[in-house]
Amino acid sequence: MDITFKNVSYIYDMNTPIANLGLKNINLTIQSGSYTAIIGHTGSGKSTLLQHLNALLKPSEGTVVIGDRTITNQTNNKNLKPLRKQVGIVFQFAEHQLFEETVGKDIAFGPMNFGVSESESLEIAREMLQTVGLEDKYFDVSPFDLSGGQMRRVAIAGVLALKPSVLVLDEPTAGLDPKSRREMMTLFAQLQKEQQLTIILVTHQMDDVANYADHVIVLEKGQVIQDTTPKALFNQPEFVLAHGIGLPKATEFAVALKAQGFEMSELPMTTAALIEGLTPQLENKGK
Amino acid sequence: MNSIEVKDLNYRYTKDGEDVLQNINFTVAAGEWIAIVGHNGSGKSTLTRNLNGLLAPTKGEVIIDGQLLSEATVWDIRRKIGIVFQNPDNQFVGATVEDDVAFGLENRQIPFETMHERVAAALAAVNMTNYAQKEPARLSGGQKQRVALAGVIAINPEIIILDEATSMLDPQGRQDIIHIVQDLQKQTKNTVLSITHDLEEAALADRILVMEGGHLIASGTPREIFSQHELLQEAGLTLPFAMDLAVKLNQAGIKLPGTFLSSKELIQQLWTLRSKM
Repeated sequence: MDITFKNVSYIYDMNTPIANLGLKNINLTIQSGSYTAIIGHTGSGKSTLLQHLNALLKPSEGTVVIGDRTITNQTNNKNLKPLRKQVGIVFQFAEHQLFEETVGKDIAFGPMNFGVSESESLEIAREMLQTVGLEDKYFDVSPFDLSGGQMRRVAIAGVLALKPSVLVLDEPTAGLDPKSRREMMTLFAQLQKEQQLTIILVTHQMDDVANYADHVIVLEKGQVIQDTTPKALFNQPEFVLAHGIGLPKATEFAVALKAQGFEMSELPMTTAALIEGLTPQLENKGK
Repeated sequence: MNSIEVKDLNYRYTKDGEDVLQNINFTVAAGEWIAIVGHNGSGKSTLTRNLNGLLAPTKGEVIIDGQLLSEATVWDIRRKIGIVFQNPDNQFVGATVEDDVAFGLENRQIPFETMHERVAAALAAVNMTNYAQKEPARLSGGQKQRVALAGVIAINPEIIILDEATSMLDPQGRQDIIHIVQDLQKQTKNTVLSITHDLEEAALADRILVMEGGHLIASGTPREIFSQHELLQEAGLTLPFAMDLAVKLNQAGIKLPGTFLSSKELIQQLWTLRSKM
C-alpha cells in the first residue's frame, strides 16, 4: 500500500486569528514495505504529517493517497474506519492511552471495536502480547501495575492487534532505557521483515535512522528539505549540521577524525563501519 | 553543606505492597551535578518524588538543605526544588506559554516587574521567546519540554531535578538544554539531579548514582562507573559511544590505554597513535 502526498498543505485553525501553518506543499511517496524515517526539529511538522497518514487530519490543500483511498479536505469522516484499521499509529507516550482493567482486554479493545468477537479478540491479544515480547503471565494483570517500558509494549500490542499494513511510530522509544530501546527497535525491524509491514518512524535518534531506515524524509518549518536514503543524507554532514539535525554517533566521530587528518572516503554510519575504516590506518602502531 | 541527605529510605506504594525503594542512603553536596541512571522501573522517579514530598517515605529520612522533610516543612522544601517532568503535559497550568512560566513566580509572590523580566529571560534561555503568547497544548513535544524547563529556570531553585527532561528533544536541543542548565549552575551553584537514559549526558555529571530493582547499587564518578562492565550489564546500561568504540577497537587489535569518557579524549588518543608512524 503506497502512500503519496501531492501538494499537501495544512493550516491549523484556518480562518481564525490564530491560524498557523503546519505543512507547506508536501510532495512525497512512501513505498509499500519500506522503512521510512521522518526527522526534523521539534515543531518542524512531523507529528502534523503523521496525522495525515490515517486522516486524523485532512489536508487544507492537496491530496493524500493511501492505497486506494484519496483524502482531500472534502473527504467525509464516514467510511474512514477501513483506513484506520490499515494504518496503525503509535503516538508519543502511547502508554497514556491504556485504560482497561487487564492487559488482555486493553489489547483486545481495538479488534472488538472493529467488529471481531470477544473471544477471537482476546485470542489475538494473547498472540500480540507474545509478539511484543511480554510473557503470558501479564495477560490478566492491570496495565497500570507494569513498568513504563512494559506499558509502552502493551499499547503497541493494541495497535498491532488491528493487523495494520502500515505501522506509524511517533518517537516510540522516548523515555525508555537503552536496553528496552534496543529491544523495541529490533521488534519493529522484525515486524517489517516478517509481516512486510510498512514502517514510518518519527525519531530524533539518528543512530536509529542509520541502523534501520531505508528511506529518510527531513522536514523543516513544515516543508520537505530532503527525501533520500540515510547514507546519502549523512554523507552531507555540512547540510545536516546546518539544519540542526544531528548525525549518527559513528558519523559524527568520523567527521571529527577527518578534521584531524584521518582518511574517510565514505562516512560510516555505524560503529562497525567506523572500525573497519579506522583499523587499517592504525594497525601495527599500537604495539 | 549538604544539599540532599537520604537516610535508610524505604518506600512502598500500598501498605501490603513490596518496597519499591529499599534502604537508600546517599548525600549530595550543594552545587553537585548528579546523574541517576537505571532501567525503567528501577525506582529512579519514585526516589525523586520522595525528595520533595510528592510521596512520603514509608521509612527513613529525607533532609533537604539541613531541613528534615515532614508535613510541617514540605512547603518550605518545595520552594527549594524545581522539577521538570518527563511528560510536560503533566505540569502545564497556564493558558499561554508565558503565563505558565510565570506560575511558579506568582506562587512565590515575586513583584510584577521582576516577574516579567524573569519570564522573558527564561524563555529566551530556552529559545522560546517567539512562542510566549501561544497555548502550551499546541506546542510540539520538544517545545513543551523547553517551556517546562523555562518554568524552573525562572524560579532558579536551589535544587533542580530533571526527570528525563530532554527525552523528546532533537540532539541539538538536548545539548542546548544541558548547556543552559550548566550555565545556570555555574552562576548560582544549583544542585542538579538528572534522571537520564542518555549516557553521554550522564558522563558529564560529577557523580552517577545507579539504581536497580529499588536499590542504589553504585555511586561514583563517571569514570569509575563506566569502567565497571558487570555493573553496567546488571543495571541494563550501555556504554557512552566513545567508551564503547574504544572497547571494540581493543577487540580489533588496536590497543588503547585508559578509559575515554568523551569523543574528544578518544580522538586525541587515536591521533597520537596515528602520528607514531
